[in-house]
Amino acid sequence: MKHWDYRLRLLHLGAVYLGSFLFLAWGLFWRQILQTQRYKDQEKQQSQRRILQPGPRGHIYDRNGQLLVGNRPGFSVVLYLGELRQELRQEYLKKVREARQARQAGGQTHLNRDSLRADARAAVVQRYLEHLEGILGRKLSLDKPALLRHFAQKLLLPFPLARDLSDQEYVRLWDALPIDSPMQLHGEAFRYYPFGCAAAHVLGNVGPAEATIDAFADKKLTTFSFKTQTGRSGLELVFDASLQGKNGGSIWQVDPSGFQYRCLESVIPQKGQDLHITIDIELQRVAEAALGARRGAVVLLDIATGEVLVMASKPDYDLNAFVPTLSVEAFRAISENEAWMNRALQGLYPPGSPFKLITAMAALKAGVITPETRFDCDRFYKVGNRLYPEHDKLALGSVDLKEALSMSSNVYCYQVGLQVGPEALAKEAAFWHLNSPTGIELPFEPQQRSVPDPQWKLEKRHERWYPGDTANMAIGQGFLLTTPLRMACFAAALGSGNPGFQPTLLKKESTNALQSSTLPASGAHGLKPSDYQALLAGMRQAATQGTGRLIAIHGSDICVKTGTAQIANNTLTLAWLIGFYYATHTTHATQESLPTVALCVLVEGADPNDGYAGSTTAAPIGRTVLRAYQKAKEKGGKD
Amino acid sequence: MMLGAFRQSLLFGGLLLAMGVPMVFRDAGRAFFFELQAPLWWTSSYAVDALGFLSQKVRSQSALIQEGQRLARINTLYHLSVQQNAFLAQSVKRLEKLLDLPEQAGFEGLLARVMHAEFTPKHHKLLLRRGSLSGVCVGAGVLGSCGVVGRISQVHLYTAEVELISSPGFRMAAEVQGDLYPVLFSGKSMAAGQDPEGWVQHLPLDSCLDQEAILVTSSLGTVFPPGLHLGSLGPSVQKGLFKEAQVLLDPNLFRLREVCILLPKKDPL
Repeated sequence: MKHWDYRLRLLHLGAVYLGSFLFLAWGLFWRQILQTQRYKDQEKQQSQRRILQPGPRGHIYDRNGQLLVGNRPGFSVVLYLGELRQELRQEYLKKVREARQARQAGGQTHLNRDSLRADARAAVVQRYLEHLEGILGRKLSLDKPALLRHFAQKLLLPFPLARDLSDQEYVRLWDALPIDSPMQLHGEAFRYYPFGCAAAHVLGNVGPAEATIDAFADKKLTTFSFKTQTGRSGLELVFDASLQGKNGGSIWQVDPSGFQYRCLESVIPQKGQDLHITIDIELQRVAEAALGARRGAVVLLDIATGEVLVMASKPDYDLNAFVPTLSVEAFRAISENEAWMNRALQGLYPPGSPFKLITAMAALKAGVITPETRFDCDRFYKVGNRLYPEHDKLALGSVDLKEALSMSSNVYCYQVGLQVGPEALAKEAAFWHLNSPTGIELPFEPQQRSVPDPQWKLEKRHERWYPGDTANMAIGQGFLLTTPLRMACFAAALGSGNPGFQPTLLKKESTNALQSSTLPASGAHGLKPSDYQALLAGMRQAATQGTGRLIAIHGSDICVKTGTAQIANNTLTLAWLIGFYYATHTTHATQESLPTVALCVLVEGADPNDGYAGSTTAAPIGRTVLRAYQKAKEKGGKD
Repeated sequence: MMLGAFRQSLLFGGLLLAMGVPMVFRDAGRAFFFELQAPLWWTSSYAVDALGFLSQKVRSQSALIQEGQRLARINTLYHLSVQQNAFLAQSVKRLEKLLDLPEQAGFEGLLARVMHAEFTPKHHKLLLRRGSLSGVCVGAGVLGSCGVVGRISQVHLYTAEVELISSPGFRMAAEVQGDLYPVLFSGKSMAAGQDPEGWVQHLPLDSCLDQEAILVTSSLGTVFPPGLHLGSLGPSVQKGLFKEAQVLLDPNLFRLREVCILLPKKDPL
């Protein structure tokens, strides 16, 4: 009996052992076979790191293939922290010893090891920085918080000590640094602007950003990335996706401390796509030089293709100041100079006398006037209880449409505007798209224009419309607001007879499609041919004998309308000019002979003593730009 | 008790000794080997020179006269070059003063015979018969008939080691002749019997490298005067932001008998 008891107990024990063994075997099988992939993934995640190297951005070229924005290689001195492990350890131990001695001497009671470690790291890096100062011969400072952040977050990446080295510094470093030094040179792409300020607002600037994971995107790894650049304004922002290069990178195996051990894979970064734009940089520079130190904008459009040849805005800024980063002083200077705004695209101004063309067309379409209709134009015209002045407060006598446009008669337009009414004026302005953005390939174009009518005033200002508002609107003052680019488009649309004129900054390989879309449909302007010709005749006379005569170029056919407007209680004077230029001289332009380019010039005059006016300020600028265009065409170098 | 402590100290000392011995042995062995070899190389170098001298001695008088005439002609040309160089140096000095440019670093040449050449996969070295007693210092540039030879890497009393430009660990700033953009030149490891080669990095993408492109020392460098020949450029490949190209070095680099060590010009004060 006892013997059986013993065997039974052994059997129980054996069963327990067997169960335990089976349990362990199952555990082993489960961990080693079934969970293999999971552990492999975990091991990879723990021991492998991805380093992203951004690809250089694409270049931007002007219409003639001149480089506007490129990449210049820049070099930084970086410190490979992985090479410093021994030094860091020794420095840390030294700091600990010193702290212990200080504690024994009664100075300290507690050893803050984190603080000692941070001090040791800073001390070691500081030593290398001082060595670098000796080589470069310039003062460098260590950003300790940045260094500690780097240790905590980007241990795998080298720590930058000095950026954007000069050629001389580059050579000195290669001569002085041993091949096994933890300090090495790191090449990166910096944006480069050969023309500095030219077309700064159009081209836009870039700023630092984190690189997207292009390389080894299928792998879930801890990622470290060198800073890349992303478009912040202008074309750099709009075409950021195509300009942005394809990131390259490498996968590194790391040791338990997180330092680099060996490179497992690497992919070379790829450059982004190049961009060819319609700006002619030579003309752009001429326009910017013509504006000089004045505030304003110049826009020159190719009427046949819709291409923007010039979009100048002053004041501007040197794009090279953004490389590698914009300094606080430079930022402040740009802000104080109010240079951030692209006045051609974003500046909202009352259109002034160029709007008289809208008034005239509204009246012609409504049948209120014919080109021959005459109005008496005295020095003032009374609307309600208020006297509205004639242009330059001079009595012009009896004038017809042609003379009114040529001499920019206000009184003519008051009378015509009051007869046709504000709704018709607003409708005509809307017909020429003065109430909508141009849709050009640039960011931050104001979406709201102001083409007022009685309904608008009631809704926005909760006031009723007065006849004085109509008089103001008829001469482009009052609540009207538009941009120089829109006015240039209006000039192009008027010259081509196509209200749907669409500007573009993108140079296409073949402009045929674009041409067909921007060529005027017969009678698209909605005017009788004789009325349209009378309008052009008035503008042509303005360019030869009228207010815009300072734009005249001998032997050239130019149609213009100048204007001088005031805003903000007459504190800001605006000198306007819009017009178009025929490459071949035609005394009587017909539907078949299209103008070549359309132009808009705007100059802001903050000081009343400047005496800015469309006729004397904007017209000479327009002449300079058109003359440069003409010369370029004569050379045959332009398409 | 005392005996136990003594034993422990002995054991600890023995352990320390065991840890230190290999390193001491290695360094001592290396120094000993060099000390043993150097006099041999020194002697053999002088013996080679003496043999050369004796071989010249057995030449006929007419052969020596012909050689003397040839040298006289070459000397005349050199005299002309020296005068031209002096004139150009004065012009450069005047222009530097006019343009307010910093004066270029001056060098003094020190001729040195090559005692021994050593080529391993990791190092390409020459041993020169000049040392610290002749004023040679570490980092000084070395020139030869083929252009830049290398840099002084170690200096002893009577000898100095030159790391050749073909050595895999060698690197220096350079420029493509006619282009002022600085680039990085480095030596390249190669198989035995192969001609020396280098590698140039950081070439701008828009640099036009024709078949005649020559790599020369940088005008911004401080170790070598500008424009000295390094090698000719081979085909280039694009690597990210830059281009890289192979540099074909002069095959005579490994057969040099005499070189010139560039020492910084001493301040007369």
